Amino acid sequence: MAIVENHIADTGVRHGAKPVKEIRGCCVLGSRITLQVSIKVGLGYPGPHLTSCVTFLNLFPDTKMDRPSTSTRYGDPDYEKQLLKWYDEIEDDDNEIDNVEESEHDSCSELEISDDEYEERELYQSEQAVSDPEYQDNDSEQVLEKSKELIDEKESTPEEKSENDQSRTKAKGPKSCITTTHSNPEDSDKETHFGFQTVKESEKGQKVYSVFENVASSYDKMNDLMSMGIHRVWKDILMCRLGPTENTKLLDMAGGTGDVAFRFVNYTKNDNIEKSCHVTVCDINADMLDVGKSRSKALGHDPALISWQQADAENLPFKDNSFNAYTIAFGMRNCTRIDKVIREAYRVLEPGGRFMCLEFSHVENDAFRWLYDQYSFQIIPVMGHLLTGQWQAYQYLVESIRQFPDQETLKEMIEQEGFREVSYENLSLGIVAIHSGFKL
Amino acid sequence: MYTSNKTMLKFPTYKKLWFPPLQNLVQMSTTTTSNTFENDFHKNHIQINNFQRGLLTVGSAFMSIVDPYRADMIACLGETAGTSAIMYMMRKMESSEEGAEILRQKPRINSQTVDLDKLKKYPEGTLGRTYTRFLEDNNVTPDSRLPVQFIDDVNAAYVLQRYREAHDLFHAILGMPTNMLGEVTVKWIEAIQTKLPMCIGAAIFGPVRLKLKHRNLYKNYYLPWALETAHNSKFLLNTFFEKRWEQPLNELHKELNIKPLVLPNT
Repeated sequence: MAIVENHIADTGVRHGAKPVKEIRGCCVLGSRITLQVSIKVGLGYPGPHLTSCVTFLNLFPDTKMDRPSTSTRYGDPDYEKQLLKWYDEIEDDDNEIDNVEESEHDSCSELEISDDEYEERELYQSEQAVSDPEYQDNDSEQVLEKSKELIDEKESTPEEKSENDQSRTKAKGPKSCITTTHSNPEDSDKETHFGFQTVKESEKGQKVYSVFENVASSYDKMNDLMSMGIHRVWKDILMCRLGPTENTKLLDMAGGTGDVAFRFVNYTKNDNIEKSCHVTVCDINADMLDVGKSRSKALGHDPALISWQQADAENLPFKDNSFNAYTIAFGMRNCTRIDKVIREAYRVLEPGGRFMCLEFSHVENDAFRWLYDQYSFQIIPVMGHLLTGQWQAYQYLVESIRQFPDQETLKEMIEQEGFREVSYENLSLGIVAIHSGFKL
Repeated sequence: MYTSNKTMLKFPTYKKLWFPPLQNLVQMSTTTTSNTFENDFHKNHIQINNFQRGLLTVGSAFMSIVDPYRADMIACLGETAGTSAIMYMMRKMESSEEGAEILRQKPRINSQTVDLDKLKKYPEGTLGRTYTRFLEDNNVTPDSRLPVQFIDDVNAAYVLQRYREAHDLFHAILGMPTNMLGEVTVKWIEAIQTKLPMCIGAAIFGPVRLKLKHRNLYKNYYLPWALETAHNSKFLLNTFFEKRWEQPLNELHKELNIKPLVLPNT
């Protein structure tokens, strides 16, 4: 700390026809902090008295405003010398801070280890974690995944690394809350969630299939009832956001009963571009596809515009770069491995293609979330049971919504697979979110 | 996955090994049928709170009236609205020897536990033969009874399950067909004997859907007979049907104090 300036000047202000003296002080408290005090003393009646006292704590003394004003002392060589001294001190203070850091570093030199040694130690600990089943940590699964990843990175040679980098740049995002993103082929027995139950990954697919087998025929009616018809608006907004133009080849994944596909057809018809556009409806469940086919027939669509394909989202039977738009509406949370689904989407989309995901997501607002939870858990299974006799299917539905990653996490997962310009839009206060990404 | 479950499970398993409760011992010595009901019960049980129970009651009552062919709605109504009636039924069963035996063993009536082919070969007039003929004539199977889902107590759930599975046997014993007329008659008897709200509702609102010809028959013959039989006969659920397949039907009627319905002009 150094007192830079301390001067008394006649400010020229006449208070009661008597002069006012100004005392101004400026202390430098640190490299970026100055304290400026300005006290004006009136010398007139009834005697010396304080006219004003202003203190100023400045955090960025480099700006013009924070320098002591030069208006009254312009041209004064002494003042200029003082200013220069002030600037020098500021710089010295900057250097002082750096010096302090280095000295701290030096004082711990006994504990200091080189970067390589630090990496090696981390690697050793990770190896321990992988091999020793007794090794415990909080979130042991996440630690395991991280450590496996570290080992993989270490083992891959620099040439391989550069190859990987060239093929596709992957943004490394936080993986702490994602449990199913790691593609480890040995872990087919890994467990995942089925609603609030824990099941093996290999079983989840079959369980989901049987849920939808049972509800296929009343699926649309139940959707209308549960969302009070709002799901139609959500899907309309999805199609608006996609905004298909000419020559759009859309792959509508998990679109069994054809809601999104029919909206696509209507949109293109409205713009008179339906001749060049095509939609492929894909679903893992044949019953849902049958319902969609019969609806399409009943609505009188041109069968050339829509094709129906039964396929698993994690393993699509299409060639690379064969579509320029991909939508998945309310299907993502039923997939066992979300990262694989996004990866497949990336593969089948051509460069410039757009990935859009409409899915239930998390509500931020606490009061509204409470209301939504009550509605979900108290009323939806009851309604489902009354209309279809299937309590468990609707219990699964509301539980799977809670288990699905929230908006930010899903955005990161999409970015990890290589999509760019990933964004999301909340609909209905976050009950539903549309995520969008481009293959660039 | 890697947490040491050993420490977590140690104490309960230790307890289990060293001090098996008496109940377990008794259950181990009886037949295995008691385990099958409990297993089914745990598989199908759904926990609901009072608000959901209320909603289900109102909703299923409405759906049953709108579409009486929705057996699951009728079943649901029976479960959600019938707590006190089930308690009454359980008391009646416990107070009789045969009923208490049924409660202890918890036998089930479905195509796995009942050998229908064997029963078909029984002589005419026996319970077994009448039952299988009834199933054939009306094209029903004993497997069509839904499991109990919304009742929390195992014994109460069993009582209701037994009631559902015995419904076809009631038809066979009383000689009632499965058309609307026969169903309403059986429902009257069940309503008076079991006091289940679902039965009472079906008995009162069911006849609304009867055709004119049946309505006259119902008013003049079936309804009075049903009321008389319900009050005079013994508690029907107390019959251990599985032990009585060979019993001639008229003997069973005498035991249960049932007078079969005789229409005057036929």
